[in-house]
Amino acid sequence: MKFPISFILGFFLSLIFFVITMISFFWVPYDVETLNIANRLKEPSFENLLGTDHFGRDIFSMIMIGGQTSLSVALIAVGLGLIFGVPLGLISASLRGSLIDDIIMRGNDLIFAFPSLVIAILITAVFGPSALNAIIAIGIFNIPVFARVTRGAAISIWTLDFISSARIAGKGSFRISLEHILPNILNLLIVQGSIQFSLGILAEAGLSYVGLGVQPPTPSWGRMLADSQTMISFAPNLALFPGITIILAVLGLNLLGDGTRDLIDPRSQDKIK
Amino acid sequence: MSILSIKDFNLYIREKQILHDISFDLNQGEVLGIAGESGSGKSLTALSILNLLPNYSRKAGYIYFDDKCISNLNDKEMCKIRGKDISLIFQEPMTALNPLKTIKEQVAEPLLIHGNCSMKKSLDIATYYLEKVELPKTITSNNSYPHELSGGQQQRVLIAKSLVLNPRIIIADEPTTSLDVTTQKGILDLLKNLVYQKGISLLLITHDLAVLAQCADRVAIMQSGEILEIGNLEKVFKTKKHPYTRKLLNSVNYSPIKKDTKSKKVLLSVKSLTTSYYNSKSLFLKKENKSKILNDISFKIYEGEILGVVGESGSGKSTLVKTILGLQNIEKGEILIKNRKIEANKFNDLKIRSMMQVVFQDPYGSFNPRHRIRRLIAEPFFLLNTVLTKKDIDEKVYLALEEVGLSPSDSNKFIHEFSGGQRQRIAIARALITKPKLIILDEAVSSLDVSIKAQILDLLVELANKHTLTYLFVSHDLSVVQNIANRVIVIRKGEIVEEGKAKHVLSNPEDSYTKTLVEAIPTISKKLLNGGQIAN
Amino acid sequence: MIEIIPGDPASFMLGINAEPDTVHALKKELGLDVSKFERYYNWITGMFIGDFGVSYTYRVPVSELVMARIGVSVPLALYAIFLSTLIAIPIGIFSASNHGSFKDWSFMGFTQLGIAIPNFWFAMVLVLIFSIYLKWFSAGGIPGWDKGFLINLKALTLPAFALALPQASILARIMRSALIETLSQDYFRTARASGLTFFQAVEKHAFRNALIPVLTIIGLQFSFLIAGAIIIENVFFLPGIGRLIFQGIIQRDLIVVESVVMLLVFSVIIVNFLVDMAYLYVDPRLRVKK
Repeated sequence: MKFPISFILGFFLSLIFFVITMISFFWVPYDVETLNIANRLKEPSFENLLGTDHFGRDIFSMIMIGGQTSLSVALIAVGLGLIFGVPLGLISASLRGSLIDDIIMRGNDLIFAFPSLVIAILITAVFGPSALNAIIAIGIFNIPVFARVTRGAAISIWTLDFISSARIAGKGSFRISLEHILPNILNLLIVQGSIQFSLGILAEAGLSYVGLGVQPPTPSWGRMLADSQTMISFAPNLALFPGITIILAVLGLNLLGDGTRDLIDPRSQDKIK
Repeated sequence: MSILSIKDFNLYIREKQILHDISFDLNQGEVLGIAGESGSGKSLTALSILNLLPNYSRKAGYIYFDDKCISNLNDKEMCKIRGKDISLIFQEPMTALNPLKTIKEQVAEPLLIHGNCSMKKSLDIATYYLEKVELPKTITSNNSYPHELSGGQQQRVLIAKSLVLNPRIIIADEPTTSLDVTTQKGILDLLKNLVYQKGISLLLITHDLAVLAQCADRVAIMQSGEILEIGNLEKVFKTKKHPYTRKLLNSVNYSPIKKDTKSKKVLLSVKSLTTSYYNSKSLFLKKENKSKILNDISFKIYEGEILGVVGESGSGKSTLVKTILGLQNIEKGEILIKNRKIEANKFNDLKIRSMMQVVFQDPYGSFNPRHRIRRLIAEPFFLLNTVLTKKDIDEKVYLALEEVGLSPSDSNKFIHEFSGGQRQRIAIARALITKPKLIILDEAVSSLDVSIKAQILDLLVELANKHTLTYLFVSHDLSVVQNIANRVIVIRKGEIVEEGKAKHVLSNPEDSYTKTLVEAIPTISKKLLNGGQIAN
Repeated sequence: MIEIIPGDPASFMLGINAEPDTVHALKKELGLDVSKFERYYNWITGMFIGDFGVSYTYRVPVSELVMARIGVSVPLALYAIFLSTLIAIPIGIFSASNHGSFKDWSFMGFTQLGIAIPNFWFAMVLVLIFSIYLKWFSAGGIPGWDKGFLINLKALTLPAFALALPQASILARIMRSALIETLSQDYFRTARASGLTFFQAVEKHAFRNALIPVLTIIGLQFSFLIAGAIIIENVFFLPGIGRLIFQGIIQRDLIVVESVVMLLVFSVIIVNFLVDMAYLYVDPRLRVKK
C-alpha cells in the first residue's frame, strides 16, 4: 500500500504532539509554577530551548504543559460530539423522512447557528470562565457536526442492496445500524474526528486567548499568546513559539485526516483534461 | 471512399496497454458498428479519435480524417474538429447535459463556438434541429431545462446537438443502453434516418449485437483492446469465423432448458395490491401529491415455476418486489405466501421471511464490503430459530459455494476480490442457503455482459431443476425473460396488461402495449444467425 | 437566563451600600419590578420590534449600543468575505485545472497552513510586520466613517485580512474539489467533445456548477466568521459588536451579552436563508414547477 505524503507528514506531526504531551505528564525541563524574575525574557539557549517569558518561566516547558490542556479539551469535546452526534445521526438516518428525523435535523441546524465561541460566551456569562466551559462549548458544537456527517453517510448506505438483504434476513433497524451501517461509515467518522480534533485545538486556543477558557496559572497556548500580545514589539519569541506550536499540531491532525481519507478512498485521477 | 482511417493505433494508460494495433476505415455515409463486452476498449477507441483521453495516457499510431493526420494535432487544433467535423454522442443522456443550462442554449453552443453565428440565429437553428429530432412543441418552444425531459428526450437533444454543424462523422457510444427498449427503437430509427438523409458516417459502439444487426452496414468485433474481426455485417454474422464472435452470437437469445411445471399448488398469491408514492415528506406540507405506483395487481405463483415479470422503467416492478419482500407498506390488498400474510416491516415473523430470498441487480451494492464471504452468505441463518454451530455453518457455506461453482476457499475472501459474474454467484449462494421456497431475481442478470449472463442463466435453471425452486424473475429485458420463464406477466404503469405462457405472450401478444414491446426488441434474424455453419 | 445568575443587576450597579429605596427605583427604571416570567416575555417580544431592553451599565437602550457598533462589524465581515472569495476562487480554479501537478500540490499545502493558523495569532503577526516594523498600517482602532471612506477601509484591511485567511483557505479547497468533481461529469465531456477548449468548458460548464457547494460552505462558514470577528475586533481594538460582548461580560451587563448573541444567531439564520435563495438562482432544478 502506498501512503499519501499528507498521511505520513500528518502522522508524524500528530505523533510528536502526542508524545511530547504525554511526556509532560511525568517530566518537564523546568517547573512552570515558580517565577524567576531574574531569568526573564531570555533568548533561546541550551538551558531554555525556546527562551523564557516575562516571569522567567521556561517557554518550552509551558508549551509542553499547555499541550495537556489542548489535548484534553479537544479530546473530550470530540468525544462528546461522537457520543451524542453519532447515535443521533444513526437514528435520523434509520428513520429518514419521518417526524423524528425532521426534529433531530432542525435541532441540529439550530445548534449549528451558534458557533462554539458564542456558546462559550453564553456559558461564561452564566457560570464564569473555566476549562470545563471550553470543553462544553466546543463539545456542544461538535454534536451537530457528527450528527450530520453520520446521517449523510448512513443514508447513502441505507439505500444499498445489502441493507435490503439484511432486512430480508429479519434484522431490525438497530441491529442493521450497528452491524452494517456503523462499520461502513467508521472511516469517515475517523477522518471527521481528526478534523474536529484539530478544530477543537484551534477553538480552545481562541477561547483561552480571549480569557474564556483555562484560567491562569494553568498554562495554555491561547493564554500564552494573549499574555505576549503587549510585549510583541520587544519580545516576539513569546508570541512566535506558541503560535507555531498550534499551527503544527493543527496542521498535523488535518493532514492526518485528509491523508486517511485519501488512503481509504483513492479517487481515480484519470480525468479528461 | 474512406473518410476516417485508423492505422496501427496503440493506447497506454499509466503505461498499461489498453488498445493493441487498432486499424479500421470508416467510409463515407456508412454505419460501422463496433461490438464488444465491457473492458474491450471500444469506448476508448471512440475517445481516441477525438483525442479526449484520460490523463496519464500515451498513444502511438495514426488517425487520418479526410486524408489528414489528426492524431498528432494539439488540443487547440483538435477543438476545431470536435463538434464541427466529428461529433460524439454519449451513453448517459441524463448526465451528459448540463443541468444548469437550457437545452436550447446547449444545442446552440457548437454554433457559437465554431460558426461565427449570432446568438439569436444560433438559437433559431437550435430550435429547428430540436424539432427535427421530433421533440414535442412544448419542449422546443419553451426554455426547458434538462431535468424536465425524459431520458429518451434528453438523448434526442444530444442528437440535435451533434447535428447542428452538419458534421461528417457522428460517433455514438452506447447511445441507447440506458434507455427502455421502446425508447431505444425510436432513437435508433431517428439516428439511422438522419444519418442516411445527410450522408453522415456513423460509428456506432454498443455491447448489443442485436442493435448492430438492425443498423450497421459493417461490424468490428473487439475483445480486450483488439479488433478480432471486421467486415460486412452479414458476412461476419453468418460465417462466425472467430470463436469469440461465435460465443457472443450464441449467447444472444440463449435459452437454457428448463422443465415445465405441472404443479397447481399456489406458493405466493398477490391479491388486488395497491401502493402509492407520496411526493412530499416534509413536516409542514400535507401529504397531497400521491401517485399510484401499483394499481390493483393480482397474480399467483405456483410451486416450481419460473414466473417472469416484465416492465419498463417506472412500471412499478421494483416496488412490487419490495412489497413482496415486506420492505414496503401495502396500501390495499394482501400478499400471501403459503397462506400466511406478508406484512410490511414486520421482521419478527421469521417463518415467513425464511420462505423467501432475493438476488439484486447491482453486484457491487449487494454485499457489505467489510464482511468476509462466509459471513455474507451466512447472514440469512439469522432467520432460523435453531442455533447452529460454527461447524454447521461452515459446512453449509462450503456446500452453497460449491453449488454455485465457486470453491470453499473463497469463503475467507472479501467481496471486492470477485468479478461481477462471481458476485452474482455469491448472491445466489446467499439466497440458497436457508433453502427458501421462493427466490426473487430482481434484474439479477441485467448488469452482466452477454456471455456471463448466459452462464448465470444456466446456473439458475440448473439449480431450479435440482432443488425444485420457484423463481420470480423480474426484468426490463423481454428477450431474457422469454428465454427463462414459464409464464410471463407484463406490467405497465402499475397495472398488469397481459399474463400468460411465456412462449404464447411473446410470439402472439394480445395487448397493444405488449405488441409494441415485443416489436421493439432488437433481434438478429434467423437468416443471419444460421446462414453459415450452424454452431450448436 | 438572566434569572439563574447570582446577584441582582440593580444591586450590583449601585454597590453594596445602596439604600433599598434607591435599588427599588432603579429596578423600576430597568423594568425589573415585574415577575420573572413577564420580564422574559417582554424581552423576547421586544426583540422582534428592535427593542432589546436597556443596558444595565450604560443606561441606554441596547439597540442604540448595537447600532453604534454595527458600522464597524458589518463592513469588517463584508470586507473579509470579499477578500476571501477574491483569494479563494482563482486558487481553486488554478489548482483544479492543474489537478495532481506540483503547482496544485503546493497551493493545497498553503491552504492547509491557512486553515491551521489561528486567526488571532495571524493578526498579531500582521501587526508585528506591517504596523511595528514597516509602519504601513496602524496597529488598531478605526477613525470613524465621517473621516472618509478610504482611511477607514485602510484601518480595516489588516483585521479583514486576518479574518479572511482561514476562510479563503477553506473556500479554495472546496472550490477545487467541487471543480474537479464537475470536470469528471459527463456534461463536461460533452462540452469538450463539441469543440470547447478546456478553459471555455470550465467557464461555461464547470464554474457555475461548482459554485453550488461553494455557496453552501460560504453559508456554513458565516458563523465561524462571526466568531472570528469577535476575537479579531479585540486584537485590533475595534469598537465593534465583539468588543461590546466582552465589555458586557466583564461588566456583568448580561442583557447586552444575551441580546447581541441573539442578534448574531439571527444573522446566521438570515444568511443561511439568503444562501438558500441563491441556490434557486443558480440551480433551475430547485425552482418549483407549476
